[in-house]
Amino acid sequence: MKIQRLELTQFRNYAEMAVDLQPGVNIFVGPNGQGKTNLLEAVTLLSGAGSHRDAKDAEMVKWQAAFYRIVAQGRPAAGNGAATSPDLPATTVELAFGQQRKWARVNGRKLKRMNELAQTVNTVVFSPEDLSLVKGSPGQRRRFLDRELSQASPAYHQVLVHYQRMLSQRNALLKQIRNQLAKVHDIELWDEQMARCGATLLARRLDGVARLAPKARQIYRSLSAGKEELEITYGSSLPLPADRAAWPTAILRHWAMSREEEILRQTTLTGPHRDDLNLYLNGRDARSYASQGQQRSIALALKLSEVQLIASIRQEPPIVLLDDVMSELDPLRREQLLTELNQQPIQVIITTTHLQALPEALIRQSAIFRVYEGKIQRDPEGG
Amino acid sequence: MYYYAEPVGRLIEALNKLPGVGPKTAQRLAFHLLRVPRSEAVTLAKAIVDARDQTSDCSICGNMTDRDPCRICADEARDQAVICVVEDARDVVAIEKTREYHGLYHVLRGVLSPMEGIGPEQLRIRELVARLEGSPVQEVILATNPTVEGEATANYLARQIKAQGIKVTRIAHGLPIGGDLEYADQVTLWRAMEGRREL
Ligand SMILES: Nc1ncnc2c1ncn2[C@@H]1O[C@H](COP(=O)(O)OP(=O)(O)OP(=O)(O)O)[C@@H](O)[C@H]1O
Ligand SMILES: [Mg+2]
Ligand SMILES: [Zn+2]
Repeated sequence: MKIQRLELTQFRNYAEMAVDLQPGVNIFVGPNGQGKTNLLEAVTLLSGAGSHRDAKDAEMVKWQAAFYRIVAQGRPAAGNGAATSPDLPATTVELAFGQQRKWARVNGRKLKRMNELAQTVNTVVFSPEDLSLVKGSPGQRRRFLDRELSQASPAYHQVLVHYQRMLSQRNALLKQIRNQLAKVHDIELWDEQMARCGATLLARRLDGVARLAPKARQIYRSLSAGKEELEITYGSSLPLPADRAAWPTAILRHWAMSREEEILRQTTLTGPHRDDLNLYLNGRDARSYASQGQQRSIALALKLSEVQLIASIRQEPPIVLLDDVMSELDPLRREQLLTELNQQPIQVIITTTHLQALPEALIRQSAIFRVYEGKIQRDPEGG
Repeated sequence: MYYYAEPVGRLIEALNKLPGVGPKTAQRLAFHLLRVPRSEAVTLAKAIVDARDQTSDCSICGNMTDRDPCRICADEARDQAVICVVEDARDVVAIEKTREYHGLYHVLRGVLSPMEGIGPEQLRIRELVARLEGSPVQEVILATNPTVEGEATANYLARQIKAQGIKVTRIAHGLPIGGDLEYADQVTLWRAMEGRREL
């Protein structure tokens, strides 16, 4: 869905705010600390995957207030790649949090789980931190993959949450075993279901990477003018046999072998929670060898391939949120990014401290909004 | 700061402690109770106290009851060869509503959860094992919720009970993973019961 109108109530530094967006590019300009990223954060929450900066719900409630509420009105896309259809009825998505409870409604219907929101709203955020995706921790790359797959399929998110729950229980038990508060073989009570769940997670991640890799390679090729090849593979911390049906058993066997060390270290040492995304440029490990510029291009290619992947799975491109990232890119990559985003009717929200950081042509075709102290005003200057 | 007359404040505070009741709802309920006829308020207060005072846990199955042993344990017409193990007393109600199960129950009062420090000793497992010893029970149905913890608990019980030479079955997951038995509709619940498997 593309957002036509966004309303925030007591969200971060916004007391009460409503803004009408255009289907194309929307630019939010303002000095530091005025609420630009807060606005993007609200939009990411509407896709059900939680805050892109990992904030807790209570932190996002305006100070001194008891709840926050985010309402978006928009229109679903008419079909693959098509512009939003004015004939389809408007959709209203509502998300609220207060008194330790969170609830979401789509057209008035209450959702059972937050991640069902991804069936209506999808977002891809690109912020300066993402530029360190290549050199960053494996956790950062896993998070990239998890967020993307969660939006592509709400079921993935459910499996992931389930796995993380098992992991917490298993690690708590390892600690108890180490302190002789539980028996060693009690670990088996958790392992079998966790191995099954982990195998499902792994299968989905491998399939996701297989779909993502060629898209990212294509995009990277055009970024590097065909000089370099980007290869992405899934790096499992466990040895996996070719036959997927054998994965749960293989995982169980591996865990059984490392049990002593796991008890000693009081944590689960292998599994999907320890995996990584392998990145190669012309066959060399990009995590160790890629230059600053190459790292940025890879990050960009990953993000843009994510946009393409979600668009092809959900039959509609996600809303793309570019948080202060334009000024971080050199003119060439900036052009590439905009060209790529112009290929489909994508709704884009860009934040920046200075309009000068953006290309003239972009400014002319965009709606421009000024952000100041949690208030937003449309600037007649824009297109 | 002055908000409410002191007794009203106490009522709101007490209501606020109930699960699922936030400060706003607590306030609404309190003001409602202050407006209804006195007799209605007394009936409610008495119902709460009576329910507390006149129920206890069945010494055999652990279910909530107004007499010991409970009506189910005392009913000789029920199938004495089957015991269905559930997490708590609400699950007994959910299964009884289906009218399709005629065996006995055992209420664990919780599930294994290392994170919360709940191990086998904190649950009514020892009571179950003792109850099965030398009993005519031929099948134990494990109907803990299909959550991570419910699964682990079922695995633990299966190990214990099979060692006693008794057949163990687990209700099938016609239920959504991560779901709560309490919220399942009765048909789903029944189908899950039908499709139970041996562990
Ligand atoms: N829960 C909250 N209640 C009220 N204000 C908050 C809350 N959380 C954050 N803020 C304030 O919101 C302000 C704006 O934050 P935001 O991250 O949106 O700034 P920004 O416009 O993106 O700035 P920058 O250009 O530096 O990235 C901060 O000054 C912060 O103090
Ligand atoms: Mg910011
Ligand atoms: Zn009883």
